[in-house]
Amino acid sequence: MTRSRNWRRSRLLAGALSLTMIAAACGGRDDSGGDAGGDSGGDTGGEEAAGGASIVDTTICADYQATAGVTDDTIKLGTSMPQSGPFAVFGGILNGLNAYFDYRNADGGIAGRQIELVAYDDEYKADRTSDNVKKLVEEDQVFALVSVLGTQNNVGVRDYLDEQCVPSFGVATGSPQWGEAAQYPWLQGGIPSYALEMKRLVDYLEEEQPDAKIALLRQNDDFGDAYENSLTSLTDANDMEVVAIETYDPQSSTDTKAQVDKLAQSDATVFVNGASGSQCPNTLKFVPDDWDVLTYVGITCNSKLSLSLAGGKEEGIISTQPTLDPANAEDQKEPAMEEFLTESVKHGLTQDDAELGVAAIGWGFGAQLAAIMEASPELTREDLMKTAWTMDGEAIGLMRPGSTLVTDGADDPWLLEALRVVKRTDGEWVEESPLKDYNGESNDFVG
Amino acid sequence: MSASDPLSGSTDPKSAGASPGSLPAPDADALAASGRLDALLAPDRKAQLIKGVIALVLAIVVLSLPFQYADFQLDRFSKVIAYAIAAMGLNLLTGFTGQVSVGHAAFFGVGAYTSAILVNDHGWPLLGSVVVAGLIAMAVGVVVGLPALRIRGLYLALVTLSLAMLFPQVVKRFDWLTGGSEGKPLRTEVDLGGGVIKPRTVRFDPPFGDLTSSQWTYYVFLAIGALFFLVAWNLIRSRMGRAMVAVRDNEIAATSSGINLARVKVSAFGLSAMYAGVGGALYALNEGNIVPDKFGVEDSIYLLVAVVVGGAASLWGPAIGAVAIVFLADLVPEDLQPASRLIQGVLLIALIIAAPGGLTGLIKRGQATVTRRLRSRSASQDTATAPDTRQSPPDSNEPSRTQEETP
Repeated sequence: MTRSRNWRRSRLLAGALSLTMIAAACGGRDDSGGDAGGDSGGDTGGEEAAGGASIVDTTICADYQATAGVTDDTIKLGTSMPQSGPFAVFGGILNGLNAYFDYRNADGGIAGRQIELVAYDDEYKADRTSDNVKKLVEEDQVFALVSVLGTQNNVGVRDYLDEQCVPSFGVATGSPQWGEAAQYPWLQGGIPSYALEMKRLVDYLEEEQPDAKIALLRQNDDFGDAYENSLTSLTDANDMEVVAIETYDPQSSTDTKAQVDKLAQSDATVFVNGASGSQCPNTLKFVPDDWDVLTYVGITCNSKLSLSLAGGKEEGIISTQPTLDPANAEDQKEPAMEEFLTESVKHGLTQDDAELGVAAIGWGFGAQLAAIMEASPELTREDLMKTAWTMDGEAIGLMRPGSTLVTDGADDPWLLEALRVVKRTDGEWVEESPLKDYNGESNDFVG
Repeated sequence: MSASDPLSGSTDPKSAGASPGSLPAPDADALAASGRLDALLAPDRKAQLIKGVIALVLAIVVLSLPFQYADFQLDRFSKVIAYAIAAMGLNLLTGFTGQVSVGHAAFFGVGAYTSAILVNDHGWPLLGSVVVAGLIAMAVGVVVGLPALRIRGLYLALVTLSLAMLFPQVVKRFDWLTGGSEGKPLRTEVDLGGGVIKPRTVRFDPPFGDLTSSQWTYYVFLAIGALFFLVAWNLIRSRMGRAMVAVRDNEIAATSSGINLARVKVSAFGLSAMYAGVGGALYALNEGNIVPDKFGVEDSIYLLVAVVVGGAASLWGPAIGAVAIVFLADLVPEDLQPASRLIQGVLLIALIIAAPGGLTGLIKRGQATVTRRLRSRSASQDTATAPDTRQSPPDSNEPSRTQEETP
């Protein structure tokens, strides 16, 4: 009697557990592409065509405060990014920002005012970013945000920023969602769209390997969706083919070896390594020596810091670059890079920090924002944002010489749209294919 | 708080060596006979009064917070209430019934996603979604409670841990429903005037008066929190509550006293999950955006920390622990942020050493000290007038210390 009841119980338990397992195993991402990038391309034309600035409308703000955070001699800015926890390495961006503002402050400031940057740690957790941003806006009364990091984190606060009408610049991810400027005019992306990266790669392969067979390792998030959607749609129209796709979870503690082994079984000739953080260089280590493949790593993975973790397996891989490379001998001769290398170490960076590449990103964001503030007719949030959506200039900060800094509201919301292709040769990035400017097209490759 | 007594006893210099001159405790009969009982009880009434005043002050402070803090702070206080309800639920299960769960963030997540899906995708009223969230979380809790009939202790902890590990993965798989790893917003279309219709984050708008939505949200959450507190308060004083404690203390004894072990355990799991689900729903409604990784192992552990920091098997404990969840990171000075986790860990260890019974244990000890002081003072006053009753009555909780502290 007892035994049979126990038996029934354990069957129930087994049933319950296996149900959960099945739930975890099935599901699938079939519908994933539609919602994220779908509305960014086409529907922005009509009413906004009059000019990029028209997407900014302060009459619908909950409580519009034009000049919060600005006094006669100071401008207060805010940021939230990981300074502790597993993503603390991105905190180097803050060092770069601080060094840039310190440098400009010593030189008389920006728009005649000293910059004050308030930074909070969010450990890369979206809910803490949201707490921090509310605090920055409501308590610290910052004029604008700069370089808030992480797609989840920015998606979590953009509704709030849109309600409060607080500008956020140099958003430190390349999610194609930052192309939805008509919907979210108070937030501007700071690095190239992930979709544009894929376009530049496919254009390069068009020359080198017109019949490339591509294997993709992607994350199970927005970044992975962006790579996969744009890559599959870009290869629809030519002779290339995506032959294998493997997904992994960047938040889990398992590595990507199993996925890479599977991809290596395919007949792919190009491997797109769509991992980020330290998993990206780790993944390079797992590529078997007998897999004759051209490996691509993304912009977030091509710093000297990141590649130093690849154990020598980074030789011969390719990547794309929108900005000057502080570890490249040629680039070090460029005036903007010389300025960075000499001034940043005078204002808080170590020589290593400066060359490893993460701080340079922060320096670049600082320069972008400074250019926007200086071009703004008045230091109001509205004018600042309208200026940001109607930029028409040349490369600033550490952008590659020859690229343009042009925006036009919802029609052209991206700042960095020029990329060159580089190959890792003898421990350094060497140009493979020159800078190509896709100004105004980033939203077209979302897929 | 019997666990804390030996420690506090040994750190008390007065009690380190029992003074040889101390008199034997008089028994209650003798005291009653002496006719001084009323006078000796007076300090208890005084302590009661102090307790009442403290409770009143606390209530006033809690109720007046919305008028002293900015909206963003209130949002964090509301978050504390959401966590407190979930931790209260975990406490019913772990503190009172003795079943360890390292997966409560999953129930919290079930509630949060239920609310988010109902509100964002189906336009449900906010409070309606909270009710459904609680019920669905309860159903999940009952299912998870079934294994608890067979396994206990560490093994149960492992099963619930796997629940916490699985939940974010399940959420990411069903991204058409849950928004995947990017998260799920809670929004409604709002007409902003001039023909502009935009999605805006949902919020509780006050039906009257000119409170901000953050102020109103806080009061709504406070009312819900108070309701769930009362339910728990009544529950642990009921037959069910006694059964839960009996199961925790000794399963065999409980069974032989006629307690249906299976029913108590599964009910405790269901109830506890319902609390977590309601807490999760409120969390989602307050945040306006939820992400799957918020409901994994780390936050399950945070909920356990809330229970332990607050004081397991104490009704107030989880509420205090929830404050720690939300504000612990803020205790770390800005310059030391890179070492934030380390410092939080050290703080926790220090707290556990200083207060093994949690913060409520610490408060109870403080209370006991105050009561004792009051008693010994009145006792010494008595000494002047009635030399034959120099001693305070033996306290049933702390007989040894009461005795040794008396001059």
